[in-house]
Amino acid sequence: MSKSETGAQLLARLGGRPTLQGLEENLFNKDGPNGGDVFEFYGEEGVGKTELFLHFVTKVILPKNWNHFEIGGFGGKIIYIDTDYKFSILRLAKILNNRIRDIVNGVTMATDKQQDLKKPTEKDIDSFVKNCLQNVKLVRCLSSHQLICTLHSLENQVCECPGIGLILLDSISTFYWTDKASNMLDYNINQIKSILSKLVTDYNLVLFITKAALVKKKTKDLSNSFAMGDKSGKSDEMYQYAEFLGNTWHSFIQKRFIMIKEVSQNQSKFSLHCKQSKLTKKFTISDNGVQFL
Amino acid sequence: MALLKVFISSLITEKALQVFEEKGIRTVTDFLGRDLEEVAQENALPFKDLVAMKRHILVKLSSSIRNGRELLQCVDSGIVYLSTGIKRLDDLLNGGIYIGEVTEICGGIAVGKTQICLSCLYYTTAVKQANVIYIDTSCSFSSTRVLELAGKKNQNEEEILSRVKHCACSDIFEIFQVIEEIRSGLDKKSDVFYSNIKLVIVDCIASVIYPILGGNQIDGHSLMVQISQKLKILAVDYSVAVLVTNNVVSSDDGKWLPSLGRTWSHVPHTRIILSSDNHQPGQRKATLVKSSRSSVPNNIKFYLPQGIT
Repeated sequence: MSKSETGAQLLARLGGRPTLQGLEENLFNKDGPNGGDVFEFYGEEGVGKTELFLHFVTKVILPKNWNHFEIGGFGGKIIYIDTDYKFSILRLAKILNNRIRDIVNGVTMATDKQQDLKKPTEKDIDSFVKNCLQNVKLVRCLSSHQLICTLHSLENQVCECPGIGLILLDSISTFYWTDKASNMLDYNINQIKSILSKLVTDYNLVLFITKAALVKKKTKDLSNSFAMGDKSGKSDEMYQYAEFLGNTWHSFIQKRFIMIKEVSQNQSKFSLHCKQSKLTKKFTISDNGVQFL
Repeated sequence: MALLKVFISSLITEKALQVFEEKGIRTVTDFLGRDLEEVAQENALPFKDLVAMKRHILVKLSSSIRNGRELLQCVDSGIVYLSTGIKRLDDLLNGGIYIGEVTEICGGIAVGKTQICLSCLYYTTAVKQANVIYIDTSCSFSSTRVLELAGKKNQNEEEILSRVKHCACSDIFEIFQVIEEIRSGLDKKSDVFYSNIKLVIVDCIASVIYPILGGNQIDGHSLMVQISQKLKILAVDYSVAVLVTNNVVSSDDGKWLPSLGRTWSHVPHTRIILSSDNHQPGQRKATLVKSSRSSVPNNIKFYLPQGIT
């Protein structure tokens, strides 16, 4: 039986969601990401997964304009599901502060003539950042079971709040070992996948997920090395990927970004690779958060 | 995994549960995963009741949503970090050991892991007047060393040591027990000692995890993940700083890496690796390898604090 809904319900469901096109042109081109996109960010410890997420958060929650400054944000709201307990509100506030300060200082230097435009004080910036932070909705979960229940309850939240355009889940691999020990891994991943895909398609949301590299790729996989051949080159070797959450999960992800860090001479070099869109990008992490090179 | 039975109430009746059981719906996740309209049609239960049941269960089980502004206000009041008592190390860590984080110190034998723990403990108790829990898995705590650090500064020795609770734990289950005690103490808010806790030290986490990692990979890793979750909850939800020490292993290219493997490597928020130099006795090198505040890797050289000899 197909469900019917009134036009008003449809509008509430789909209308008014902020578009996130151009969220990060370095990664998703100009016309992406679109509603319904599910992207995964995979990497070892310390490759900047959470930092990259904070970068997306700042971009989405900042407004397009503030006073006469062009901020270039999306003025949207986000749901951040933190199962790794790594989300730091202080860090996010600091990145927001630094970015706005840079913009404010940059503009006033360029337009010296317009003295009448008054420069915002520290206090103004502070309260502006606090207002932006209101657009972040944070949920922390302790177990797969709680995650499943919370995801079900998010539907209400998303329904009530048309500003929500992005859901971030950091990370899907947290409960891997505990679920595996209780023999519930496949069941739980299936449940999580089905509720997430319902949320994303019904409400036209964008979903980003991190996955920690908990399992090492089997290096002695001969068939694999033959298939790759010689010409696969360096990049395939560097950006190794091992799926450990099963086929259901594998097929759920539309694009997978593999992140790595190289350390040379006391300098960390971060980069990110996506096989599906044949793209490799380098980035740095500073007090201003992630910046693409 | 909660059984639906737990939620028996005027809303979720025994009768409804029996109907569910016949259809294979036993746990909460079974129930939530179903399309309620289908369930209503199959079992001739009122759709309205099912929706009410779902709402009731979700309210009880899902975690609450908090917005960023409230979170910042919670953090803003109160101390943000605790000094380690070693100036150069504090600079490396951007101030010290942060509240709300799990900080890990890795290093080989006798590079000063415990010394840093004790120094941090001394500063927290004597300078910040806060209480410390010391979870000791390898009998390395020394109260005389703490008093040595205090020196002759005319401080009340009794007061410093009364701010420390020492818990000797020989296996991971005893640590679970201690953490539960801390949590219930913090929840009750009646115990003066617990409500003033700012630092929890686990020295050393590796020695209780090694024994469970052998044999069945899955069970050992599952316990390891659980202890890491408990420590993080303690740090984040109860606003204390958690300091753990870990051993090192050498990698293929001769570098020191934290022990306990890939899964544990994701656990701490901040990690430093200590090493000593054979030519410079007493001097130590600390390398910051994981941090969300400063660029990594970054290293400094320092000397361990001397007490009165």
